[in-house]
Amino acid sequence: MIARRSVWTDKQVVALAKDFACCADEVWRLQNVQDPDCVFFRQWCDEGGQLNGDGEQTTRQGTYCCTPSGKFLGSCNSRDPMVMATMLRSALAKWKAMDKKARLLDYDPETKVKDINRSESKYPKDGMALKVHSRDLNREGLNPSDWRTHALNLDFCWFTKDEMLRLIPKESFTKDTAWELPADLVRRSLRLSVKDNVRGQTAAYADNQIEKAAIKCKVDKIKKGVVYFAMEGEVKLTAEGRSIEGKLRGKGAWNVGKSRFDEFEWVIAGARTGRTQYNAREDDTGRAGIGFVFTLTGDKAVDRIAPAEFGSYGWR
Amino acid sequence: MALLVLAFVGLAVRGQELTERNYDDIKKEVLPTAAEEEWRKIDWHATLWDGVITGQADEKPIMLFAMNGHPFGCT
Repeated sequence: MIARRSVWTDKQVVALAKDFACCADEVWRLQNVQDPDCVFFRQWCDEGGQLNGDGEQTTRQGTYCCTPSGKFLGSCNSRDPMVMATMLRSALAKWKAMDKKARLLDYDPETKVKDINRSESKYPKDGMALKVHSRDLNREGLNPSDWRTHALNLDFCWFTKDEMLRLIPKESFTKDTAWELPADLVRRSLRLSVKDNVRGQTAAYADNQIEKAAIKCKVDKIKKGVVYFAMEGEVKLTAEGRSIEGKLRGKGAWNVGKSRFDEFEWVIAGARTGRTQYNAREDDTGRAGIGFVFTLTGDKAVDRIAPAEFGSYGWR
Repeated sequence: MALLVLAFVGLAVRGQELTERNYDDIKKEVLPTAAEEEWRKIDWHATLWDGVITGQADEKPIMLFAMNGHPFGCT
């Protein structure tokens, strides 16, 4: 999204960030849940004034600085790196002027982790996690200085270990092995991840809004205990006021000895129509190209974010 | 006129057909560029409380980037 690129790539902001413990989080939960981290946030978030207008339920989106003890140091909501850098410098100056004892908690914050219930704790360490990038395809002719021309979004798609193991056949592989991925996993992954979120969050599709969702696999080669296979499929989702459809191709590399995917990738290219209330499509509702790429995540903290629609996974 | 309309429609839906031949091109078009991934160079924690734990241990102030939808996921 634009905020990730406009502020956090600026050299002076990146340099200033080294003096902070930097973190990011989903703000609705922080505003509304009673877990200790959320209560902590609400104790100081409005001390610099509400960043997005008045009202209890008004979003507190923005950037905040505080001490580990919960003392407010500064806040802003801006895509301008200069504004951000000014706020960070001011926060650092307040921190330095503060008595050292007042900066820190008088208990170990690790002791509260067990009381924090969040989707990220369900990260499938022994399963499979995919990143899902989405972007409009082939939007030449639009104003290149308009962020919407090259808007990009990111979501995640998770599989438990049991689900991951269902993606490969139970029988041993030969060079002619062909199979279909389980319909329930394909339907869940596609309806929750393939949506027009290029310019902003949007609702997923419901299962009964799936017209097509199927993926076939065929072994390409088997080499040194790794089964390389190709995938082909299609997706078509239709809801009131919007639709999305495309062809899917992909490739996988199943490491038999390690029982894990060394590679797993889906690429979808197709077209979308319509809009939703918050996805910033505005009047750009005609049929136009859209693409998605699913790839294995890395192992940084930023790669372990829960899928936006994790609540619909039905995991316990 | 008909040709013009056809050309316009063709332009509007261009790039949708995914084939073995254009697979890598479409993948490259969708995935973020190096410049779009610069934000990952900051040593981010994925939750506020992880920031608090690190701030407490390293005696650093906390900077929190908060959005509707996780800022490093779908937002």
